[in-house]
Amino acid sequence: MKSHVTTTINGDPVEFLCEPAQTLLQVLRNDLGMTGTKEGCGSGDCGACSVIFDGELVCACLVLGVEAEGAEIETVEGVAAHDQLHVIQEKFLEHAALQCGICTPGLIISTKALLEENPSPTEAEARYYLAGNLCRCTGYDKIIKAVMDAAATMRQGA
Amino acid sequence: MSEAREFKHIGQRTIRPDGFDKVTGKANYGADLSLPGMIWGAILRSPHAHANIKKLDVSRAEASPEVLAIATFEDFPSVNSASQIAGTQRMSLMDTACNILANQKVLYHGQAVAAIAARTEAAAIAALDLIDVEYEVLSPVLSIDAAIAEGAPILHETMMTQGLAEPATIASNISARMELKKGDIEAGFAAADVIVERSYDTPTVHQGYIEPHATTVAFNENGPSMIWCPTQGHFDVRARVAQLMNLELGQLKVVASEIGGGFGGKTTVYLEPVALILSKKSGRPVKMAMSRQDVFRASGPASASQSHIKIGAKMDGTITAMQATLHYEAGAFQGSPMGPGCMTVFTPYDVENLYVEGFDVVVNKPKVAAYRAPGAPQSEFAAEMAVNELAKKIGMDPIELRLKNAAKEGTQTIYGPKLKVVGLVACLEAAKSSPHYNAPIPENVGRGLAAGFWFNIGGQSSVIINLNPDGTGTIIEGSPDIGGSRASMQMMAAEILGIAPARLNPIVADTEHVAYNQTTGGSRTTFATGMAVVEAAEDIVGQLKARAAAMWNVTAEQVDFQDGVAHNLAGEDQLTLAEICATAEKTGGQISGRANINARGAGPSFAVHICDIKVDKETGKTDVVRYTAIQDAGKAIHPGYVEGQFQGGAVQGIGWALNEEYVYSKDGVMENAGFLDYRIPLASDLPEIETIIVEVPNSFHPFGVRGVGETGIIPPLAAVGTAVAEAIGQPISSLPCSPPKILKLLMPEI
Amino acid sequence: MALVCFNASLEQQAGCASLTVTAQNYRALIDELTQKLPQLTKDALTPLALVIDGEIVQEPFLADFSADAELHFIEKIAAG
Repeated sequence: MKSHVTTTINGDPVEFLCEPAQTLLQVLRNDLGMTGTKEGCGSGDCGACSVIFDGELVCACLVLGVEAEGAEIETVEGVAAHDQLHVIQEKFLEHAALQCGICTPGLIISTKALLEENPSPTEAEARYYLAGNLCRCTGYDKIIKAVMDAAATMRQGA
Repeated sequence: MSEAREFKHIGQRTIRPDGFDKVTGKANYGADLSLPGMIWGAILRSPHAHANIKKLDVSRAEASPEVLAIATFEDFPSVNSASQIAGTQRMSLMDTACNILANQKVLYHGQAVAAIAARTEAAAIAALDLIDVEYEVLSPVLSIDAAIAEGAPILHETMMTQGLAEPATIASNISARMELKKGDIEAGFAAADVIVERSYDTPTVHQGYIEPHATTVAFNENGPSMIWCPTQGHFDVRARVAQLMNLELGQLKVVASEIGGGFGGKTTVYLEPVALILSKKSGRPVKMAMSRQDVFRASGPASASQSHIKIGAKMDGTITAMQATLHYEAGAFQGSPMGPGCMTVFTPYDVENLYVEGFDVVVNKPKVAAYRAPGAPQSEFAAEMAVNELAKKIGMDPIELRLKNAAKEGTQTIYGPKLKVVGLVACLEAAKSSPHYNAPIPENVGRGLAAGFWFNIGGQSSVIINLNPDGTGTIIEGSPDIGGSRASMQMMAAEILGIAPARLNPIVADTEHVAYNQTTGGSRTTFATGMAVVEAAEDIVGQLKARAAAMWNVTAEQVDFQDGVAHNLAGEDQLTLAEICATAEKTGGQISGRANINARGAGPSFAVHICDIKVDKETGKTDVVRYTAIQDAGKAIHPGYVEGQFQGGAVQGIGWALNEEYVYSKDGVMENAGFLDYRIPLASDLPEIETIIVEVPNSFHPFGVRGVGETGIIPPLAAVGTAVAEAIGQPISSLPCSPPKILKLLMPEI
Repeated sequence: MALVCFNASLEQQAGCASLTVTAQNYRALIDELTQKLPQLTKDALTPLALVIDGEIVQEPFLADFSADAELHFIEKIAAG
């Protein structure tokens, strides 16, 4: 028997029906057509499905759809404002911090969460915060450079 | 030809044209397409590593209203076992079909046996229980030693070893033997003052792409069926599916979605033919996706290997002989990259006497697929470790030893041809003067260095460039973009046409909208598709000149085109590209350039990496404290993405060397089939990966490009292995250098 | 006369380490080799790439070469 869930995603009120066993990731991708959040492993080990859930960084594959009731959820689709990219997104592009791009949505969200929590991370702090986001293409070097540059730029109020 | 030219766009760090969609989640990958009426497929997988299928009974599934279609091997039209699929190393069509849906026998745990389509993914998975399979379990063969042992269970009753001195008479698990030689190996060793000899082994590892295999397929009775999938080569997908399903190529349209990593692992098909069968039988579009567990257990990892290396040298460092015996695990069906492994193993060295023997061995593990310079990381790991051991033995710096014996223009390779101009010496010199190499080695840290070689390929690429009346345009190409290649295509076309790169939109078109393009792989894309882009752009320049000539009433020879502007050599007139396009309708219609090429002249790329590693002697934990990747790119079109290839390859190699391995139970079940326990490097594991781009141009490419995608995974294995050996003061011969193995070396009594 | 050099594996089938040929293109080369060396079959050669004076030609069907070219057969390089 499906549950009726009312929630907020990227500022929009959203309603959906879901089975008890469905994850938030499955709901986002299959029922709401929001495929920006990716599945890499389905078991919370890769971070490709990172979303911000009531201000906390979580793996959407580890959250049930029914848990979204009354929550405020941010996904990658809501990071840019209209056609203006967020600083984090701009820096990822400037630094060539993506190659295939599949881990990028998760990293954009995780970076946003990092910088909201800690606007001045050291490189080590950034690396450890983002350790839950796997990337196989870049070796992380340019990702971390983008993150540190975004942090610096955001601190200047850009 | 490129002789230290000044470029306007080449060499800049442009923003990739597909970047906006990728950072906003708009870009569509393999699992992102849904179609009206779509249903879901799921696969029933073998619970045994080696078994005969005595009975496969789908009657309960057929009777269920939840089940909308069922697929088994029987659904392949007659499969011709003699057919070869282009691009696969010695893997027959029959092997490919059996790997996709098993035929009477299962040869690895997780092998697909049947598939079901149902209205939801959950319903499809649940309905798999309705298929009844009876297995006669056989003993699994899980290592090279087990496979070649006397009395070993035989995986394929008809497998006779090819390439033996005397033709084989009994079935074996060795599918092929290869022999390569140069000079006189006995004489070479006789002339040596010093011999280094050691056996090495590397484990099964996975390419580790973050995106699992997935596909959406819509069978169409009345026109081309549509396959949407993440692939490195959609034309290859079309060819394989057509062969397997007895379809004409025109009956299939393959759309390459964006691809979330491949590294060679997405150059074959697993789900697509199955989804096509289910779609045909149900009359509905079908979506399928592998779980991460399935990706590990049932896609195509990289060969485990055993290598025996023997090197002879004089005390002054002249290497007189190099010999290797290389064994590669092919997995369940023949066709490991043993050949390229044999060809590359000693290629960084200009040595007179070489002998290499290679063996392709089947085992009850998933059939291997390509992984970045397939075969070379395994063999060159062993050779580079041995060379470093030699350096230590004779008290010579490892760079000096390599410089003394370095392959260069004119070096005769073991596989036949002489090398043309190559950049190994340049890379070694760059390593020698690099900040990293000149920094003192920190306390408790070991330093390792290694070289790497890969051939790179050219091949077929087709490009069309269409210009609009306002001088903007579209580059229609067909190379799935795995690492930012669209940016390079944009820049190369812009350089020729003399306009801003942002005026041109590169698109990767499907098999109906672009002519044939070979797989993105083999480090070919910037080289070969780039060459096609240049040729198509030059085709346009010819047309622009002709149009300008028409407008000025002169001949085309009297028109010069530079930096986006046509000049009348017989007068003062000028016209920009945009101005010529604005009147295209009047002067002959659409301006469109085209090239369909089979690019020759791919230049090999050499690399040298330096690695510093700290080992905690109480826990065996390793930390990479410093890393430098140096590689010859010929000419870096977009330095950011070239550096990215160096860094990505380095980190995959670091993972291969330090932590990654398939852990098997004695029943042949992979026990660490997930990212938690199959431990790829994390951001917190690594320092900055310093890069040095060496440019020794390849004269066969208009800008001097050498492919760089693959070589970078080769040096890290021995650079890391040697660094660990230095740190613990003991030889390393087995990867990965994981904590338990290091502790065992440090404290063998425990 | 172009010179065809066989690697150790092909040498076994061919019965010799090298051979001079009059052919100046790939198809003529295959015909000449299989004729002169009956143990060397078309099936053994046609899946291979041809190296012409050091250049690897993965798809040599239309390739031609000079009268003094040096030729080698190697396995086609797989893409990774």
